[in-house]
Amino acid sequence: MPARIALLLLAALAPLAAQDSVRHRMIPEEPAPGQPFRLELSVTSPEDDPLGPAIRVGAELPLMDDIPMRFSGQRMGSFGGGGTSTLMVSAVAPGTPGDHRIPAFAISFATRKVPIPAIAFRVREALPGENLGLARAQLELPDRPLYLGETVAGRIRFTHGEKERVAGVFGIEARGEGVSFRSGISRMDGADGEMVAEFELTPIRAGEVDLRISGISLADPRSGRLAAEMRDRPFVFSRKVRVSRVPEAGRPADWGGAVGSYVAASLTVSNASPMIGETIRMTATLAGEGNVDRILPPEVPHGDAWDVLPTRERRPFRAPGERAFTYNLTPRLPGALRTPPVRLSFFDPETRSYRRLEFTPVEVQVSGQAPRQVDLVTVDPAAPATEIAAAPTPPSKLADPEPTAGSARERVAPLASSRGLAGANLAGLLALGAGLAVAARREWVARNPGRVARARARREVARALSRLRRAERAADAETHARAAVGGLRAGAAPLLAGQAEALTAEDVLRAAGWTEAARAEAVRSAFRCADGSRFGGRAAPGTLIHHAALAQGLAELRRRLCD
Amino acid sequence: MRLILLIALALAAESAAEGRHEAARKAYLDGDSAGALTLWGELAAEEGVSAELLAAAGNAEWRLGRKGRAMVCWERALLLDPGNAVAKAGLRHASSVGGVERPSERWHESYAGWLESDTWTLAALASAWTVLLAWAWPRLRGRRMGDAHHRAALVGATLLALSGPGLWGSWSAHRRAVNRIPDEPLKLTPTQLGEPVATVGEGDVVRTGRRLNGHVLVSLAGGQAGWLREAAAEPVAAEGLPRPLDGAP
Repeated sequence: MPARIALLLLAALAPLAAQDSVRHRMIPEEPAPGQPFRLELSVTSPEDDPLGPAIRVGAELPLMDDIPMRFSGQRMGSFGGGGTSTLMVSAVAPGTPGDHRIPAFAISFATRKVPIPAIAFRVREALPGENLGLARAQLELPDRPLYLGETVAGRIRFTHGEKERVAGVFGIEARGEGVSFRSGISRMDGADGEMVAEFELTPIRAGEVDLRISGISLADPRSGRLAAEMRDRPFVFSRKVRVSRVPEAGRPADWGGAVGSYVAASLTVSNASPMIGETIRMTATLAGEGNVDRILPPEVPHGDAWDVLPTRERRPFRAPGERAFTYNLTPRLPGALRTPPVRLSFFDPETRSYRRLEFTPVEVQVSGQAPRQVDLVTVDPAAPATEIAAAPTPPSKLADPEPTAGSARERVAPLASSRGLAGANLAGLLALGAGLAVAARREWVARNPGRVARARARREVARALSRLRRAERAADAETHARAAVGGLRAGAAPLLAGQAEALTAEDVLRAAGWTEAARAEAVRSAFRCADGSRFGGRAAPGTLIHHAALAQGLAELRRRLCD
Repeated sequence: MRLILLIALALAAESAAEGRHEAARKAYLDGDSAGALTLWGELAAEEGVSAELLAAAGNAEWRLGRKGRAMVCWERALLLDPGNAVAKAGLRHASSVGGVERPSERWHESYAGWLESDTWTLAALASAWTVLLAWAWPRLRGRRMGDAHHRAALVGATLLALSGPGLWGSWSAHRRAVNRIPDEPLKLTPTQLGEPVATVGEGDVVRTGRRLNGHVLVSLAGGQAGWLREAAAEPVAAEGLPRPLDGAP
């Protein structure tokens, strides 16, 4: 029984014994800020369960902005009775002293995936006067929003350090789902011999894209030692780029996806003096910076003088930044013809606007004669040959023209679309409407004389009331009396159907129906004051003392005229 | 003296123009369609076009195999003169055996063909003003409508009712275009890469609608609707001879 228990325990512990072990070593153990270091990861596997070689290590290393890392090789060996794989990773220490950490990740081997625990390390303080003199890398990208489908030319510029110089670059790649990346050439640039690595980016998804470009440079120590001592210098750049769609506003209908800055480089024909019906080849070459490989060939319409057929260019990309579009042209007419226009619309990301270019046409001398008559009559190709042969002559034909018969030259645009005609008719309608309105008003006045007189009297009374108040404020007794009498007469006249000038104070009192003594005295006083001089001198000193009664009376008259 | 000189100059110019007309016609009859077209083109540029000149140019274009230009010439000639026999024969020939598709005339378009479109316009305007003035004139003078006014209003209203379909037919006939490009795709959407739903042959006549994004909404002779590039569809109602395609944007 105890033996069975022991066997069961051994069987349960067997998987634990078969676990992989991971160790790491840093050289140097405490790097200076910005100092390159080498990380060695040793993975030991059980003897009966080998790991095999590591695969895809480069893609599985964590991508950190402050600690660039690149896989630089692996060493297989035997250690402690089991198989050991040592992975060598080149890295650069962060620029700030202190404790740092490489997060946990996993490495795929041929047989399984091995988790690597997080690695903590320390970056020491820089020593006084210490100068590492390392080479540096700098990313150059256009400082503007990028556009979907455009090809952005970017560069990484490597500056030599005091103690080492960059001798080569390799393995430049980009991680990011929203971009398509293509690495270009690396070359020495400038008098200082700086290394420049070129690449092309094409955004393929709109929005904010996390762009991470990494690579490795070869640093040559300026110590005169052998090139075999060159060191790996990994680098990582992290950028957030904003990718927009090309604007829809102002987009030409013939825009074929061209984004960049282009010029029409040349337009050539394979034969400048063809015969009628002889096909020649026209090649338009576009040059500039942009997505030349993503442009749809511009459409060249059939001209009156040419039949145009697009054709496949065998070498569309003859030089960097160039694209050739080829068309087959067949002249229809003889004489000096110009090649049909080739136009291309493109979106310029610098100016954020659409532009259009046109290739300068080439003159072609076409010889031969136009056909006397082209047979445009269709025949059913599926019909039996006997039926086609037996078919009667088409019943219709062209009539002989008599172009000289039309002496008067005419216009095709209809008269109905003439703005002058429309304007004249509109003006006539407005005039007629105005005339009808005047006639209707006149007729209404004729039918309602009393209402017109009342309305006129109402206006007169209002004016008189206004004058009365002004005269009261100015203490002008004479004007006050005249205004009161004028208003009273104008207001009473329609009530009596009489002439305003002929009314007396008694008429006014009778028309208004005022019986109060105070108001009657005010009215009589106003009449005496206003008209007294006409009948033997002024009988009243003034009407200012009756102002309130007169104003009230005028206002009452005006109200009655509104009924 | 100056007047005589001016008259002599005018007569000489007229004579020279007649000579060129004759030379163009002779070139056409001799089979030199390209030469005849050149002369007619010069005359059209100097004097404008007439229905007869357009119809003749249509014949020459047809002979040169340029269906689109020929159809534009004939359709335009019929707008100027609905009874032009040469243009009618050309259109009949093109539709019957030339493989060109042309929408059949609607009843109001056939009705409008009795008179020129401008005549319909003038008739409608005159009758409308007659009705208006017969009603308004007595009112302007403060009188009632008399018998004469009633008669005038009745005649005007009748003429207006008769000219209404004519105006409608003329308007409808003007809203047509000719496809100038061989095998032009009729697109589902007005975009450069719109899905093609049919192919429109060179010279096919289409009815046009609204315009959008460099395309025009059209309906074909068979009733199928879609979008055609504006550069391909030349409106029938335009001035002069067909536009050169080489200069089209």
